[in-house]
Amino acid sequence: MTPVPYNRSLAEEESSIAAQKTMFEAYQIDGLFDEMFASANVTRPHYESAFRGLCEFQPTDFDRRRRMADVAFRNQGITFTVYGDKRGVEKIFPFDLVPRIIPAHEWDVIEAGLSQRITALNLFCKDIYHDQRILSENIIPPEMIYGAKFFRREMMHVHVPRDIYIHICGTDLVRGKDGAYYVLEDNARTPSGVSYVLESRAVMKRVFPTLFAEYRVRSVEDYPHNLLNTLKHVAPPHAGSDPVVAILTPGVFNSAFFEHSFLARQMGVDLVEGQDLVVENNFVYMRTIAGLRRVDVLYRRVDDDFIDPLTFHPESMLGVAGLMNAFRCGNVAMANAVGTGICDDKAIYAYVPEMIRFYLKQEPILPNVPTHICARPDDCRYTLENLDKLVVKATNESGGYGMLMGHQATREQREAFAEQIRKDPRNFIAQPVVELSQHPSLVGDHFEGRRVDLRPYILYGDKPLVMPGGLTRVALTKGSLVVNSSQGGGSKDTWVLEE
Amino acid sequence: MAEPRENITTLPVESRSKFDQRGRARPMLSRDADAMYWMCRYVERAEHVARLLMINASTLIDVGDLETDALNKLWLSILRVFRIEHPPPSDLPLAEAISRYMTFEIANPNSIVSCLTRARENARSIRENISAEMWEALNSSYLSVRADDAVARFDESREDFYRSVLASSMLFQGLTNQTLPHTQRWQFAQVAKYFERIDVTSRILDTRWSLLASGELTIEPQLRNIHWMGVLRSCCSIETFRREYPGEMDPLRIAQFLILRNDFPRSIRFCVEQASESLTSLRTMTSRAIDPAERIVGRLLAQLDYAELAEVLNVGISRYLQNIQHQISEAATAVQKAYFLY
Amino acid sequence: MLLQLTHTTELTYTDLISESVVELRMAPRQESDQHRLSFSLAIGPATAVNSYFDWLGNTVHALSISAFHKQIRIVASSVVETDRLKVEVERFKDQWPGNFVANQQLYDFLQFAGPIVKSQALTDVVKELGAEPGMSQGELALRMLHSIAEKFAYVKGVTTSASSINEILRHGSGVCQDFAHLMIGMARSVGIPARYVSGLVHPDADRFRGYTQTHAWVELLFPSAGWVGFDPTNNCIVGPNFVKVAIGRDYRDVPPNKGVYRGNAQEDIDVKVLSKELKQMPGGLAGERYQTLSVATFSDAGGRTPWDSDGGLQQQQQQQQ
Repeated sequence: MTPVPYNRSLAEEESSIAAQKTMFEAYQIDGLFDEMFASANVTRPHYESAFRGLCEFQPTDFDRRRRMADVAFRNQGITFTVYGDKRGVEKIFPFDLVPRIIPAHEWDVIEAGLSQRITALNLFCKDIYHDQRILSENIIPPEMIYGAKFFRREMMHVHVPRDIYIHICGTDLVRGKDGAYYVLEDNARTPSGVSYVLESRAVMKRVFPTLFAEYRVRSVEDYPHNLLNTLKHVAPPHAGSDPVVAILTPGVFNSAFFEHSFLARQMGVDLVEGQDLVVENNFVYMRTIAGLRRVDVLYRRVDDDFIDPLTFHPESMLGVAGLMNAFRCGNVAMANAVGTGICDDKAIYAYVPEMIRFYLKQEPILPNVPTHICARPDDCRYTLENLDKLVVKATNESGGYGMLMGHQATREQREAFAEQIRKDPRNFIAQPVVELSQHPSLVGDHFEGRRVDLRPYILYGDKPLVMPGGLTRVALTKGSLVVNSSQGGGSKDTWVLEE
Repeated sequence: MAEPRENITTLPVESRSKFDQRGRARPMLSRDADAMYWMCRYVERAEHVARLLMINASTLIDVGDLETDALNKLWLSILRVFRIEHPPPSDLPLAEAISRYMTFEIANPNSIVSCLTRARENARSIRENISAEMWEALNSSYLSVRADDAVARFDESREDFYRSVLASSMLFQGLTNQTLPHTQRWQFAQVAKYFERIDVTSRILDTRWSLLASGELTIEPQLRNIHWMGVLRSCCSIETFRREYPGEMDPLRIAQFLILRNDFPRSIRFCVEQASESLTSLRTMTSRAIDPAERIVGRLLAQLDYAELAEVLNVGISRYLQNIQHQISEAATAVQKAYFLY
Repeated sequence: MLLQLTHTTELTYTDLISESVVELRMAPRQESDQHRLSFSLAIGPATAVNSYFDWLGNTVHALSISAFHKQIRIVASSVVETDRLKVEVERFKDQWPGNFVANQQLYDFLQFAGPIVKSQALTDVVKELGAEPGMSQGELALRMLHSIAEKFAYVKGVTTSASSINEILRHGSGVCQDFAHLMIGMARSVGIPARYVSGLVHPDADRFRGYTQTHAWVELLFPSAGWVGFDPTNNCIVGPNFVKVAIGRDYRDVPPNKGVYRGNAQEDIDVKVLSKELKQMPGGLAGERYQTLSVATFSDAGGRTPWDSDGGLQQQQQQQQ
């Protein structure tokens, strides 16, 4: 038991006990896995200090801190853009002040599992764009790859520096009713959200200094430094010891522009738009006030489709013509490489455990959520027969779009979806509903359980490096399982504890 | 894009690597410099708009009842400063219509709200390159004029509203000076600020001169001083002027003061000198030959350095000021061509 | 047949443009029955050219012109020897349906994608072929060829390079590109892998309108004979006077030139092809083959890392397989 941190009078003691009853009074576990409570009155050991710390607060205290945090976020312009919302383009990311805490022994497993996964995914990319052993050995049916929307034929036989395709990966984890962590999806193209992790941490330190003092929380601050090293690791040899790195952003109107700008600032590199770049004789240059300056590594946050109008979408104004040729020649490195979208395909996701066995000869450390691939006739039939029990997802959508929550949907919605599945089975997968774990969140003047997931970030340079922590996303509506920021989710700080 | 470019040659490999070794002083992106420049021009412009509107309203309180025609001429002259030909269509009295149009109208690129919006858009696109303090100052001044209660605050007290715009611009410029390294980026901020100030100051003097001195407006002699004080106030110069020239408001002295002083940050010659210095630094930093903007501004500075009031009067105040505006506009175009749009 | 070919492309613009980035697919392919003895490019304004193999094994030349310009001229010259035999496909032993598996090599050539779209009109045209299980695949291919020749007319200006086969089916007319796309659609409908070929045709007095042209045709896969060329525009099987330049799923993979430029100007394109049958190897060939093309270099310093030393070479070696 950690001692109570303050010297308090008896009266204060009583009032805090009253507060404790008030703020957790309505709290219900509802038969879910609760991150903080093992059962109704038993706090999990790693949450004990936090629980007591939180009980110290009066609702008004808490509210004051919430407002402090809001002001900090707003003043810094920590915003994201929701498409299709006419009312102003920028929104503050809803932030929930109650931190999520992960003990060291749990994190060790996550870290090992994620390292294993990104290693296998990189080997997969290398294989699928070169020898295609995984196809010829019948581990994955060729039509799954060739029929995938984000399989880039243009990348066939293209050599990428150090055979790294995925330099930055954001893998979404969830916990089921049993408390086990499952991988829900991989984001191997341009995962976003890491800036919120860093900013949330900074805000939490300002708002809850005492709560922090109770724990030894692993720092996330060196992420930008590690990211820069990861990027420099793939610089072409001619760049020498100090390669020029730049972040390529679609521009201020992109939903994640804040993050692009944040990372550029943190790494001390230039933030460029397509119009800033020009390709000449297969080298990439940026336009500066002193003329053209060569760029060696691009951390690009522009999708494959828009990165080079010559090779991909001819109407794109976001990329730069000829970039693919410079990339192909090895004159510029790109992170992530073109073509990694194949790993984000939710049908390919289902094969990742097989990839781990095939390439690494290991058993997967983190399991997938069981997945039915509608491209397989048996799976498709099963899916159609059990639509009311399953979550169906389009294989190439993200951000919570193109999804059917079978158990919550109306009959009409289900039938409409069934029609789509029959028309294009390759485009769908189905999974049993995972009852996400819940975590106390501030709702009005008290705490209630809200569903959470976890997106850790993995860097792949000379070896995999998992950031200790990640983005814990919260479904802000009661009972909702959708945590995506584009669908009204919020976030909370994630504390990974030292041993 | 129709302009054939001159400066686009790639640096040879050796000189490029030498450049990189300068470390921190790596050349900034053209788009970045462009955004920096416009951000600072718009902040400066918002400040001038706010000051002009505020001073005009308070001067008019001092002069008491004026004929509608005279009143309208004074309000319309504010639009003329910003090269707006026609008053906005509105059912409100002209003074009110112009105040609102110049404060809140999004469709008017020179309104305070537009200026701050554009300044902030530019700042947002180079968020990673300006200091957190600058961003927070600009962002909160933007949020303040775009807030739901902005119009209510404006209606409650115009003066407070304008003063907060002035204060935030001053804060922003102070932060620009004190939180940015004085490298290329800061030089662009300087050029932008002074170009804008030269332009607006000369326009203010020009329009008021033609109203007050050339007899476009008939005003009673006893009110003349108040009007000329208004001009000095609009250029943020009243106190210094009074300290140096106690007594009557002599229009010629005022013109000389606002055009030819080299030690007062609101006078045109001072601004030209600062802009010229910054352009020279930029040229050295980017290792180029003398560029057209530097030449234009240098020539203008020499002219001002050796000018006498009599000369100015010979040419005619108005023509003299218009020439300055023309030179500055040419110089601004030259900066764009050399650094941003090649 | 020994052919000397000159392929001239003039791109002119209504106003000054800059930063043109262009990719060319103009070099004849190296195949077992077609040998590129020489190839050279002349380009103005002056620029360096880099080449690579695309994922289909076509040679791509990439170039960029940064300075302002109003015109680009590209002259691609080659000497090619073809020894393609006139085949009689109806004699092949391959039966229909051929049971082709959509593996990694064939998947793309069996799919409907891009301009090759399914439609009722296509189904109708295919039905009229009267395909019967057990029949010769060659016979079925010839029926496609003849059926297109009978039903569709060669008319310029009805379709564009972006047209899908719905257009030719609706109008009953089109150009070689549409004919090729249509035959690909028919073949893929009946499960025969089909691919698009762009190339050049040397005139043969009987059929080819007397002048050399850039042309498009198709290839169908026969288990016994490999890919065999059919020209639905001229209702014939591809012979030695055809020079293959690029292959693809459809036109999108093979445009002879595609480019992006900066500037507000319209592009006008003028293409001329000249060909000459040679009786013997030209004497200057050896010299011509030493025409230098600038190629990517991978390191200007001594310190090579394992991956960069074999990078570009490995890439080329693998793609040549």
